[in-house]
Amino acid sequence: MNMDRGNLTVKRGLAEMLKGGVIMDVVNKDQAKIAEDAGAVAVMALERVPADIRRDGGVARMSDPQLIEEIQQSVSIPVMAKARIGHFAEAQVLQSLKVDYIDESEVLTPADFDNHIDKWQFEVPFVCGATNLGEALRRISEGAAMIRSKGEAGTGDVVEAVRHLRSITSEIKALTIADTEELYRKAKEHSASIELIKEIAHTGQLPVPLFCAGGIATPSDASLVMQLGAQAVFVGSGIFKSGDPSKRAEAIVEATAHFDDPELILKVSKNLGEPMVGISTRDLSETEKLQGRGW
Amino acid sequence: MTVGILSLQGDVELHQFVLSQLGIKSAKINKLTQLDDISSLIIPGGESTTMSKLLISSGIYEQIVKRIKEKSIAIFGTCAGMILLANKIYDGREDQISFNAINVGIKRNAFGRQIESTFKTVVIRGDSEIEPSFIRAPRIADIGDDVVVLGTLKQTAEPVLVTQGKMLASSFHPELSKESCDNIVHRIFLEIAEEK
Repeated sequence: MNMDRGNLTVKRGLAEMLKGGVIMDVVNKDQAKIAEDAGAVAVMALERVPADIRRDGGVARMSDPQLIEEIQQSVSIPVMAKARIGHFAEAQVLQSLKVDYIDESEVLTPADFDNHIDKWQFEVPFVCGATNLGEALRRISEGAAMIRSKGEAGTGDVVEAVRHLRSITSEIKALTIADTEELYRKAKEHSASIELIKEIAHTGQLPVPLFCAGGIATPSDASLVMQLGAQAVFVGSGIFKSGDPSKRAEAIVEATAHFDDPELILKVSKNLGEPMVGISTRDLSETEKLQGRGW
Repeated sequence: MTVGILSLQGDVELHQFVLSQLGIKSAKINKLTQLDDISSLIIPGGESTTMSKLLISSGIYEQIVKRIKEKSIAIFGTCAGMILLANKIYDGREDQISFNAINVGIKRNAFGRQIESTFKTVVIRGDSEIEPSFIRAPRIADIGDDVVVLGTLKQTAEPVLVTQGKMLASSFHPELSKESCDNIVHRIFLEIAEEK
């Protein structure tokens, strides 16, 4: 393996280039074109958006490589794809397909209830979901080059995205004011290495970019999570489950770039058509929630 | 001097960090009015298609075109920034815009997908060597009149850093390097920006 190619700086580098952008879930090449036309920085190629995975039930797996390949050929922006948690063989296939990022994702049915993929074994970078700082740090230890707060995918309800993002950022803040003695206990609490805990106490941020996912459906949702500290957003079902995907996609791109400009967000929020209907996460039982997948 | 960094999308913070290391103030630019106080601008790495849309909708595109014509702005484009400065984009989208500011033709993502992204040794002005990252990097396919090559790949002598007038463009990310390389490329840009 060419170590320079798989170097964390190079892996993290692509995530740096995606900052301030919107990564959109797409299920075919037509949707991929619409996403690119609307200004997406990348697309996530998958067979079913999370809302449909939720509705259909059953086992959700890596998408058909043929579908991913068609999407790769139809757009010039980066193409990401999802592998099941712990399913390193799916990840190997996605690497052979030269996808630009692999999402080891709780949206798919986990393949291993104890272990995540050893992401250091790959040259293609990985993004992983996290609901709190400890989970984020465990994924980073395993080689993730980007963290996305999980939220609750396929609901169109932003409440869990907010909860997870706030939890990660406030736990980071707590580290920066902790005494050095306290950091050892924090490492234990977060089930994370003391080296990473010390580094974050010093820098006040994750060593990899922090993006947000799971429930973003409107321009204001995007602005909200960006103001809460996300560096880019993933929009799954929120775009192609809405009345006018193209217009909504463009509006969310504008709102993410200008997240601190309410006047502009007001302008782009008008006449977007029906948003995705969505499900309130309060109505979901614990077993129906995807965010609990990942260890 | 305050250097503006176009902050519509991309790796803005990495450029900010380099400038702060050089003791230079920077300002994020994502609104038209913010351009008025700026005479030098960095266009960071990111997605050129996304930036191109946001440049139009924000009105910044028109203003930068005007400032380039007046020769009242120096611009440094890295990766996506280089694509936006080029006269010709071979495989861009139909609606993709560029500033037509450097007489080169560019092929997007021509160094390959992310799995091909890597560090490469670049020789600057024939003497110093740096090892910056090339991330889904664009290639300079052809070079026209008035363009000066400042950096080439050590292995193949392929041009990867070019300048014309007050413009500077790199295929690579000097803001994301193995070592800081003394921030040599940003220093070159500051020299260009300070020339009267």
